[in-house]
Amino acid sequence: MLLLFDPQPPKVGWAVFDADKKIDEGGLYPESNWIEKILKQAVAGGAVEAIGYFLCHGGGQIVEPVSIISAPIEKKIERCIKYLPESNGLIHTTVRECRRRFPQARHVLFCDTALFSHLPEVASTYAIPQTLRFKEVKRFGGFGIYHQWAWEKLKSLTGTHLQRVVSVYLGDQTNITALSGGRPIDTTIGFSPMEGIPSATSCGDIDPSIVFEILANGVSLNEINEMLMRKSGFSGLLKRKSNYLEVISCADGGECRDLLRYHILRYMGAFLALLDGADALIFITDHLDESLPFIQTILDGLVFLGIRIKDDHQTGAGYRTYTSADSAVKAYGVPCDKWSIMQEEIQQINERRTRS
Amino acid sequence: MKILTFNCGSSSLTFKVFDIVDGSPPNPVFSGKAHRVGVKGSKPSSIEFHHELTNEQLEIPLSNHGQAALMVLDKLRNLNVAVDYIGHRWGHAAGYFTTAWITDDVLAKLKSLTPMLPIHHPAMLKVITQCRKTYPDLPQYVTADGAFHSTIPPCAYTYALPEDIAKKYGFRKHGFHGLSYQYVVRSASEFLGLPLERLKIVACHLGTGGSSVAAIKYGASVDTSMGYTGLPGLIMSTRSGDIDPILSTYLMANYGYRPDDLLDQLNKKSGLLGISGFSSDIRDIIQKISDDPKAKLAFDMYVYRIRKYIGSYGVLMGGVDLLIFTDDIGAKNWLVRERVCNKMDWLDAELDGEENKKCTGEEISVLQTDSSRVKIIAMPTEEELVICWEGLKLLRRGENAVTV
Repeated sequence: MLLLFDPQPPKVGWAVFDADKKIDEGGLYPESNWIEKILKQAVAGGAVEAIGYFLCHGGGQIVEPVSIISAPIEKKIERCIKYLPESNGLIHTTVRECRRRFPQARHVLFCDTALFSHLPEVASTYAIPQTLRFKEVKRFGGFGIYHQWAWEKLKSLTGTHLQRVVSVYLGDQTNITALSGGRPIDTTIGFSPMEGIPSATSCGDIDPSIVFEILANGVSLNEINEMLMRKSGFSGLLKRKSNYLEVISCADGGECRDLLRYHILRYMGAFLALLDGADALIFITDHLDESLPFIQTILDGLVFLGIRIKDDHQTGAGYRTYTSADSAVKAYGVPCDKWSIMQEEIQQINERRTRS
Repeated sequence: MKILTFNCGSSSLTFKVFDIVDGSPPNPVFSGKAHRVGVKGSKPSSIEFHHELTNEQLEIPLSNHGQAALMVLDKLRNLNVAVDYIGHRWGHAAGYFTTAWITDDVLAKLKSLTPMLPIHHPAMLKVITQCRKTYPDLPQYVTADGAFHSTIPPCAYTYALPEDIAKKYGFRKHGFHGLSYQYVVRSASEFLGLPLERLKIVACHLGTGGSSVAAIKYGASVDTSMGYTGLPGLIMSTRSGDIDPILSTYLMANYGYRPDDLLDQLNKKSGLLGISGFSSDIRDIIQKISDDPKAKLAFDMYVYRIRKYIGSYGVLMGGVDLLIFTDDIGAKNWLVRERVCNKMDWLDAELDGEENKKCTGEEISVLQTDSSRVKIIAMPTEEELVICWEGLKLLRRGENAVTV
């Protein structure tokens, strides 16, 4: 049996797999006996063989996308809490608890920033004084697990040339990465997931002076963090809890969708400039069918690059092709699901370990 | 009638006297520029004057903009050039005015706008105060820089903040260098004989202090890299440009920085100075690219950020017809242009390397190759002329005060 954890503050998301079959999933507050609750809910036989944990921000500590958790790694996870206190705090608690309870299981850590630990210096450096940069301030990126997984999957499925790629994750936290030969050269997420494209609840790029003006009006640092992280983005603009699916359905009249599209095109343009054009655009999302009209409006803005859009989207095994054979730039859609990505990866580790 | 115009950069002061004779375009009769005002660099500050056939350049310590303005007023007095009006460029009017006579009320309003452009506004106020002190009876006006960007659409000017917070504080993208963009797009389209209404233009205003990029589609600004203040966007001489908004709270919460100190560091100690560690001047940095890794990183990051913005705006407009480089660095630095335009096949833009090196930046130069679909131009900007145009408009309206 396989147990997976993903921080979804204030809860911890969990899923239970039996081999490659998902048995159950949910979200719980990490209070007393919560692990028992999961085990009880997920009526599965057998012992817990492996546990996967999703770490959103590995900072400068964890630079491997996937690793087996040892005592030193658990220590490192603890040192990562400060980068993203809520999410990382939850995952640290979970790791500590589960390692104590399941000493026989294989504990696997997925680190979402690791792919970006070798970004070129021009992309990872902020133009601030060295004394500030030396306080672990750099672009750490995020969603590396998704971008890497989708690129590898598409490469093996299509057998196409994926040298210069702009990879777009569409969802509550839309973000974009420029890939050259599968290696990231730049990404929208910066030091924290706050930078880049506005999300369901966080502000994305804003004038950095704004923080100081709010602060000067007597608002505390914690309140500002909370405001920018939880009360901004589409939820802040619409004055109620909102999400990606609602935004792309234009429930508000389309203003948020236009804003999201603007930020996506803005960053796609920036990355196209860095790559001097692209061979392929990849759209990764949990909601591929619902996203189709939105992806279409994005591609409409890129027609000047010689993109030719097909009406009947060919559905391949595990991906879609939006462009015709003569399109100068190809566009693909890849459906994703975090639990399956983690499960596939752990299964591969198990197979490799069994072989060796 | 003569109008004296003052145009404060963060480290420069440009000035010009226009003689206005009915029916003719404004004729510059006196001009000049103070350089490296208040800058700590490898070279001392200096001031140049041009009048009739005489050109003069003095190396002189200039610790602030008021001091430079006084030198200009004294020089004009010595030359017996009497002016009737003084016009000033103002950075950020937050929608209160586009051009207005300076009354006590307006001056009080200007002072209250200081935080929106904390490097420029104090310098501009010093110049205004100096002029009012020397010539208390001379009518003076300010013209706001951001008005050109009033056409930017909501998706580009809105920050995704809680709606009540954005409203309460007035947070939105305003943009700057509007006078410069107004001048260069008009002059470039006239020079090329291509109507502005049909051009998609990316204009890079690269100054010795502040820099920005703007997307101008069919004559109207649709996006620009500066924001609510002049801090975001490109990497500038001492300003950081774009950074993660949470960096500031992280540094204050974990390392105890005081807000005013940190904001000061982002405005005055970051950018090229912050990366290179030795100079805020891209020209100093270029001298050291080959033997100082920090200088190389500073230069590479400077170019990299410009390239990203050109790409962004190219895509937002669905292509580019004209790429303009202006102001001191944009018009005069061939290496910056060469690196920025390197590998722009995807936009169908190609710089002519030889023409680019020959370009002095003193006049409009066309720099693309024959096969490049995108036109590339380097040209000086003339914000002073736009300040003069705006003053003439104000005089025609016959207003002597503007309600603030």
